[in-house]
Amino acid sequence: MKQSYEKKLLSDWEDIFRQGLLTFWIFVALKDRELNVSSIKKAVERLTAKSYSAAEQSLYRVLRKHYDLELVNMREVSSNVGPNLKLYSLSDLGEHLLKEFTVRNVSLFNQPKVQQLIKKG
Amino acid sequence: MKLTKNAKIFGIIGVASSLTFFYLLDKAITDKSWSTIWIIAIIYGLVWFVSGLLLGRADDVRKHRGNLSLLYHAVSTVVTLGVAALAVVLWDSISATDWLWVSVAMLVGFAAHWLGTRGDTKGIEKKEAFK
Repeated sequence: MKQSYEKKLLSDWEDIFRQGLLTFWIFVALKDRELNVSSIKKAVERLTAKSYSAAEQSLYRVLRKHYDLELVNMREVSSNVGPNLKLYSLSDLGEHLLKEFTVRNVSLFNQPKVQQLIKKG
Repeated sequence: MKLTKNAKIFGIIGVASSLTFFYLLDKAITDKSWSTIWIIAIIYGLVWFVSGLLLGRADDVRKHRGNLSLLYHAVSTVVTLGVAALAVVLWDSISATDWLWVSVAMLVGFAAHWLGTRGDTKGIEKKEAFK
């Protein structure tokens, strides 16, 4: 009973915490390389130890928005099987934004107290 | 507010269709041909809707830093109110009171659109952009 209550709280907290971080992981996956949606999905899963497993359709939708916002570039290349392959990469703006976001938000986790928590559990 | 090429074409189509509409409206009112008014009003609305839909969809969101749907709304509001004001001067059956009511209705609609999207970037909600 107690454990399921704790699990529920943890799951709720994680749901809220993860909101907004899919973009971060997509951008990390795209840093310095060009990937198609299927590879982005796999890279995000790998980077997040499968915490983030977005459907390809959701990734297409969010990447379309990132493209419109000039955060990612996209080019189509012909594929041996099926329709053209869309390859995504970070634009200069996306690259800069990722850097800023990481410094302002993610580097906070480098604090000794947080590092201690990670190490000791 | 910088206009895109497609928004300019949309504005030109709007000016031409509005002039035609108000001219035909004046004629229909003078002739008391009430059914004609319905027909030309529907066609006029369709011209705005279809041209906005096609030109807006073909417009490149990536190349415009503003909110395209708000831009098209602004163009249609300015064109309609401008041509309607001209129609008040040119044709007797269209009165200044009519123009005033149309203006209030259109400006309220535009204000609602602006208020509803003022926090967005390029018309995209931040929740949608950064999941």
